[in-house]
Amino acid sequence: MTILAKHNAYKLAYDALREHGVDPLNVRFDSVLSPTEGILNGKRTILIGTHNYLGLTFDPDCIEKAVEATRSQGTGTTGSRVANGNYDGHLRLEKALAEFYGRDHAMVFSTGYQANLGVLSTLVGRGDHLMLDADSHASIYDGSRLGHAEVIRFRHNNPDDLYKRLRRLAGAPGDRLIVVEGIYSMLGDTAPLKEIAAVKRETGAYLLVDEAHSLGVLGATGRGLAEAAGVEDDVDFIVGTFSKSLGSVGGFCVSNSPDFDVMRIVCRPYMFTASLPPSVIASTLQALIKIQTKPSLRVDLMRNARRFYDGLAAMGFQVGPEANPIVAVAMPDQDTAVAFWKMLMESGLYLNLAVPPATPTNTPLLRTIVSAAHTLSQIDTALAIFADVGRRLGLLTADRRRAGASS
Amino acid sequence: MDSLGVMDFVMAIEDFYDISIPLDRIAQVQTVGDLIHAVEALRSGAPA
Repeated sequence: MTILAKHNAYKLAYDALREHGVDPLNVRFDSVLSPTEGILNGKRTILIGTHNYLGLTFDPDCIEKAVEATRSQGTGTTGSRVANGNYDGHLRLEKALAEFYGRDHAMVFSTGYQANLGVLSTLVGRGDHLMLDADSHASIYDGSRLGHAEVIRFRHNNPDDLYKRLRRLAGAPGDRLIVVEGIYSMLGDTAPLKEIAAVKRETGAYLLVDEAHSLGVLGATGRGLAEAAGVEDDVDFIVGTFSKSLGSVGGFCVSNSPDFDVMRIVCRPYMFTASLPPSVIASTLQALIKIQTKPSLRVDLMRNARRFYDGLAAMGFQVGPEANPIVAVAMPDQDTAVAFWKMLMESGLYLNLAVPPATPTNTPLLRTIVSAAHTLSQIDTALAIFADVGRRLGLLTADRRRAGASS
Repeated sequence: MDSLGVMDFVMAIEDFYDISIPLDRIAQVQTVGDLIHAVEALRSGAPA
């Protein structure tokens, strides 16, 4: 018995997965060549499983700004903003984010995970009520545990269930905060934000939207689902990340709340961690400019997403409910999923294998993530590889057109 | 029962009794008796 023996159930499940000769939780790239290509096990591979939505990780301007910032300001800040001081870049990035969203305030965190930890645990506390979509990301659940609010889950993307639960709280003291995501990371589905905003208005709750996967992806100017759904005025807080469409790392929150800045002296995941290094701030600022000056990136992204989603659906694969950059393919069982994933990699295609309990359905998923940087030829190659592996595994024979369709 | 099964089960109980069981209370439930106690406490509006 060791102190870690309490996690044996997880270890056994992981070991069982690795007996197939794969380790989906520990993939190692020999090198990364571009936003869409890398060398994996010595083989040139198309990357269609990273959240590089706009392909900005290799943008020459972003790289140049990062290099310039490192040369002029050094590799790191070596401290937190409250204890060791702000760099000019932190403040400029916050101003740029506030302007981009048309909001009064913005706050930058060192990761998206910490943004959710910090914001959720600070906005609501003991005696308040936190209403979470059941399929919320781990950072939202963890943020709910760091604070002391009462946490109530509502059925995924179900405004009626949310309303019912808020109605049950009628008369109870305390603030109510509803938390939803712009695009959910496992199936690529969006929240029914118009309907959720209506529930929010009727019940007097606050609304927070995590736009981690929708910043730069949805909305006429890339501001996310709130913009696309036309309900920005109803959204009190937007949380997001720099590590997907903006190609770096870090998190943020924007709001019009007049006393927003008090968070800087009470929000522990903001206060007690090192601030982002100058290079990250500089490339993120540049990427934010790209989002605004190159709307064609969003057009390319959605064109690729639609082509890939429609292509897989036409072959008979069971995909998620909407054509978005995250395209999840349901697999009938874990053995098939692992074999499929392994054969895709051997054919030069890298994507994510997600198994329960990380998946919202009880089935394993092959999760693909399309980028604006994919060429149409890469998308078509990926589709051809899917068709080939699907046929070899007997999932696409004529009498089994609904491969993986378990429900 | 896996974690999804537990969630569906809890939500069915919530619908039946027209209550919401907060996450921290679900975490404390180990036995059927615990569950009955939590539901009764929530229905009577008393703290668990």
